[in-house]
Amino acid sequence: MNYGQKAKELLLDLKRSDFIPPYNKDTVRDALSEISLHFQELEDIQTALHRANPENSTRVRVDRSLRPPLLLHDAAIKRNKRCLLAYHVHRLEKLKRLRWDTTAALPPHVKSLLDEAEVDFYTGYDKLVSRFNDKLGGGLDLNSNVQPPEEDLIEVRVVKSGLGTIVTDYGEVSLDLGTTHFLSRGDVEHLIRQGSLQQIDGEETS
Amino acid sequence: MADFDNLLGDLEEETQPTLSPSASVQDPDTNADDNNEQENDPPDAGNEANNDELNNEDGDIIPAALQEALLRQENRIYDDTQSFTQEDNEQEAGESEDYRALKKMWIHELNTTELGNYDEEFLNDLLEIMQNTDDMVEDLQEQGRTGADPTLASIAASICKMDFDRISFVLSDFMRVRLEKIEKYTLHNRDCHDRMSNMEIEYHKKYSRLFQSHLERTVTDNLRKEAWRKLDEPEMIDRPNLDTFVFCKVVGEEGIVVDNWEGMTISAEEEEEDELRSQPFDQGAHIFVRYRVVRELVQNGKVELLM
Repeated sequence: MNYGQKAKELLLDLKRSDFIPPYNKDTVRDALSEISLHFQELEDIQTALHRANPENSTRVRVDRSLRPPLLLHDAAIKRNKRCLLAYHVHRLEKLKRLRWDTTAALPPHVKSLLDEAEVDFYTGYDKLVSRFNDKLGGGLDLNSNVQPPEEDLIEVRVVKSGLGTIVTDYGEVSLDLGTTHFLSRGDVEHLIRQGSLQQIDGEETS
Repeated sequence: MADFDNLLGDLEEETQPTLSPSASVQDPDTNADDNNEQENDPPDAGNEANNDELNNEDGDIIPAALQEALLRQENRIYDDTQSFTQEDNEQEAGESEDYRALKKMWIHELNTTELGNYDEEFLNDLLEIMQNTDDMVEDLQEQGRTGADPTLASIAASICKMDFDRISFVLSDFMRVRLEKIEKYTLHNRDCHDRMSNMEIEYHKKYSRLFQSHLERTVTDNLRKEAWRKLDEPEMIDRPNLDTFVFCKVVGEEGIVVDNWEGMTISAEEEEEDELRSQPFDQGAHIFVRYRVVRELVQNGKVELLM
């Protein structure tokens, strides 16, 4: 049996991709079955010990030569568990970052990379954060104002089509592809973050 | 441990006009000239005498760069006190204080890895003020469109909005940093509920449940023995690193005494040799130190963290 090789593969997978790789269900299952194999070995040793000391079944004296395998299998199980947990936690961190950056629902190209448990996590997390946001009050929105505000009105250019019109304090503005507008920051901040609008740098900021 | 104030403290003992650059240092001299010209004209006449002095090349032990830093520090102190009084005069009495307190709390959260104390009253008040300001801004904007004096109202609206945006940025960043810490050290924070607001406690509980159930579903439920299913063994918990270095300033009036070896284990012979173990610092000193060493002092308010 290979000790922790499958788990290592999972972690290397994570390292090689920018965002997250598709959920590797097979390798995860292999790693879990490795753990069962080790556990099986441990059980075998245990039954062997019991057979060797039939009268003394409550306090089994472990022969010195049998101690290393016990330690080895226990360590291997813990190692596999740690790698598996790290794999899943890393993916969750990336999903959380995605939620804070875009505040949108799961885009389909991301959804195809995830396991269903992760999709559930994302929806649960989305709900959690949105509810916290709403209860905060004071006109605060945790998803806006991510950068310190420099100016009140900014100039933006529309780079994606099909955005429709937005309602600002100054009336309706229709966002056709290629047009530039001078709008207040709060209204357009989330669109800039999504990438639909592009902020045009003035002379001061270039 | 560096104590920046003391570096310049020696220079301060000499009176102003006798400061002069070292003859051997040519380049910093010309830079010093340029920098002095670019600064705002200091109203202090003594500084102009200094400018002349800088041009002289009476050799001295004090390098020009340090001396110029001293000048800039004094100018800045002067400028700070000026703008300080102006701020107080122009704004309403509680506003700038609130903002300053908020800013201090924000900077504190940004610089530590552990969760700071949560001042429930202050922040609830602030949230209410924010709500009122938000309503006021909307009212003014409404007046700007339809009211009697539209231009004045819209200017007032945009000024108020700027102020509101500024405060709301600091407040939201403060909340975001706290949430991030709550999520990052979930298991450790189970013991830290006294530092969180009620909403944060609820958030923490829900988040831990979500997180734990996800991990159980994907990993630990597939493990056979109960003992291996545990997710919170002591070595598995991430604790915030209290040994990061922080810049801080002493604000307590009597000064402080600092134990450099807080949290470290030193062998007996090293302990005898080190005389710098406890260092006293006066009020106003700036120090750069491990967070663990000043942790209690920060919590008592005697030391303040700086950006």
